[in-house]
Amino acid sequence: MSKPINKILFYGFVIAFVLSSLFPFYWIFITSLKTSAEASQITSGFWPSKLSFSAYNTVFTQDNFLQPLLNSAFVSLATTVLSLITSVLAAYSLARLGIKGKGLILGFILVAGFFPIIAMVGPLFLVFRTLGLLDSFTSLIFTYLIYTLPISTWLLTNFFSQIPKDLEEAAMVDGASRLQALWKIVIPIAVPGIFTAAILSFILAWNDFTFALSFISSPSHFTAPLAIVNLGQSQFQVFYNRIDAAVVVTTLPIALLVLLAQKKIISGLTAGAVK
Amino acid sequence: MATVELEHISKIYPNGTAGVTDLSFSMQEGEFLVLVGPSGCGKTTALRMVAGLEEITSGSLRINNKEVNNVAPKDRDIAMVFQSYALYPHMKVRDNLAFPLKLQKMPKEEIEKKVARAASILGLEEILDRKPSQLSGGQRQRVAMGRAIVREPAVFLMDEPLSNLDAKLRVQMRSEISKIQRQLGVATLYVTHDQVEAMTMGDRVAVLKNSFLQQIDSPQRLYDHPNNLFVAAFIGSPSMNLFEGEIEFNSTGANLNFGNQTIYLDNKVTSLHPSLRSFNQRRIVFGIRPEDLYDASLANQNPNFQSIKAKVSLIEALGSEKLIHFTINANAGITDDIKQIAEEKGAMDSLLGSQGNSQAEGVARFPPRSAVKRDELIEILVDTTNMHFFDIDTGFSIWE
Repeated sequence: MSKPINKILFYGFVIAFVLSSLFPFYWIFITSLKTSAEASQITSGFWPSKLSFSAYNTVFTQDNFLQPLLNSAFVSLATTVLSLITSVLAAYSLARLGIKGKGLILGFILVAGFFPIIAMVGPLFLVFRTLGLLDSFTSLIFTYLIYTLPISTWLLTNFFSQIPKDLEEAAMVDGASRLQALWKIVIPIAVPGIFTAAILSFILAWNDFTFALSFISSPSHFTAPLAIVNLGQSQFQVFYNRIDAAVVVTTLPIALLVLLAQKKIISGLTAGAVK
Repeated sequence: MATVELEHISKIYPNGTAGVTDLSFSMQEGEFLVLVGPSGCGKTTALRMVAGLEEITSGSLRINNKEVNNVAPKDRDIAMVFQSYALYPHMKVRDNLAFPLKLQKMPKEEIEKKVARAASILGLEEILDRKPSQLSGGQRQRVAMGRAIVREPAVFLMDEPLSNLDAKLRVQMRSEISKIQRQLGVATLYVTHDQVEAMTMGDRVAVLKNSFLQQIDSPQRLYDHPNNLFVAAFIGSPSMNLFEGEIEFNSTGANLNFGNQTIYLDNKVTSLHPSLRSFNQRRIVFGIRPEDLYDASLANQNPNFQSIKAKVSLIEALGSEKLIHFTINANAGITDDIKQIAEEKGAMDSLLGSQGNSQAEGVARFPPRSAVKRDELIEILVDTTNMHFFDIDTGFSIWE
């Protein structure tokens, strides 16, 4: 690192890497600010000749994109809340109650979390068809839980294991029941971990396309990613500016959330790595 | 009225090891009882069973005359101070103190009053709005105490509350805890591995070893009349000197032979230990406290004083006294118990060194003006009236 040439190479590489990863986002962003006419031109430039918010306007008025956003929000929130309630209790039990075969259970949970998505689609489709749950939010929430629960449970088990037992015992001697000790002592201390689990679950549900495409058929139940695909296509033209406007609207809340919570997420993911 | 009663309490872990075996004692109202013993002796397990944090395998535990074996900790009317303090890191000191009261759904004004009172007793007023991470070790210890006293429980339980403090602070908090306990008059069960803490703080002290209760008595009684070798060696610092010898009775008294020396015990002395006679012609362990050894060149002649010869190996001058370490031609009265204690006290090396060559080590407490020198062969007077005798096989004291 001492030689200037090394430094130039290093920073050159970093800049090239950052630019190449950010460029698609930049392109989506500026395309969403172009008019339909400009967006469909082959020679479309790196900066819109005229800033236009018409794509956003059309997406919300004509395409009614608010509905899929709300659908996504509902499904993701429900997934997150259910996932948190269940995984907090599961993780606490695994961390504290001295359950036999705990390692085996945790290993099994981990494997479940890595199961390939596409392998789940077929069987789950049959299950939901039999249960009459196709084209419902329930089918999505249930499916997402299959993936969010293992991650959350793993993360939180590690987190809870690190909270000194003394604290809960002190709380119990001080007059708390076990659930009160969990609620008033353990959970507040584990907030960074719980927050991380929540964000991960939310993003997983919010970004899903495969399951939504497979299970949802009526447009009024479309989630945002599914709606984007069906958006801005006429028989003769693809309205890239409208698609990209929808993408921006879908991505922005998550990006902001993650940026704001960056510190907490990092401390949640690395907790206990170094004492 | 007994506040806490343990009746034949045992704890056996699922893997079969015994944590506590057949422990019985009762604590009177306002009594300060200390559980002391080397690590792994079961003292903390006993405390945790009283707290309800550990299940009781068998026996009966009563608090305020109510059996509480199957009562949850929160309903036992106890408060506990943990070794780690266990302060709630996300709460201010004020909220830490108020936590047990809030759980009782006490009215707000009353909580404030009680928190303020506890804070003033412990001098916490200045730091009420700080978080535990902003406190020093001593302050944390005080907050932990505060959280216990704010409840006004029937019993305080303290699990080595001073072991994380530095030496100076420990001595200071020792007397402070005693003072507060007396002021509040709440029965206190206190666990420590430090026999000095046990002796200075306890109204009574219970000595445990390998899950068994060895003796429970006032500190002075423990010191003067230890039940067995373990208690004799464990209580007191420096420890009691223990040597092997053979006792031989004759018409005027008895001769205690060890190495190439003899201590003569006259009838007055042997009558203090009547059952010693049944050990005639047998090997026993005898013990002498360091303060019952006198510098022959300074002490007045006394018919109970018997002289022995020893070689000085080390002198520790403490100002108010001199600790004279000496070697003597005898077998050290080493049993497994003593080895364990020596390990705990970090004195194993000197003990082991003395085992093989039938050279035993001992310590005497001499006045500061004593002129003995290192490597000198000196004459030491033994106060035979204060000697202790133990059965070499069972370790029990030989008294009646």
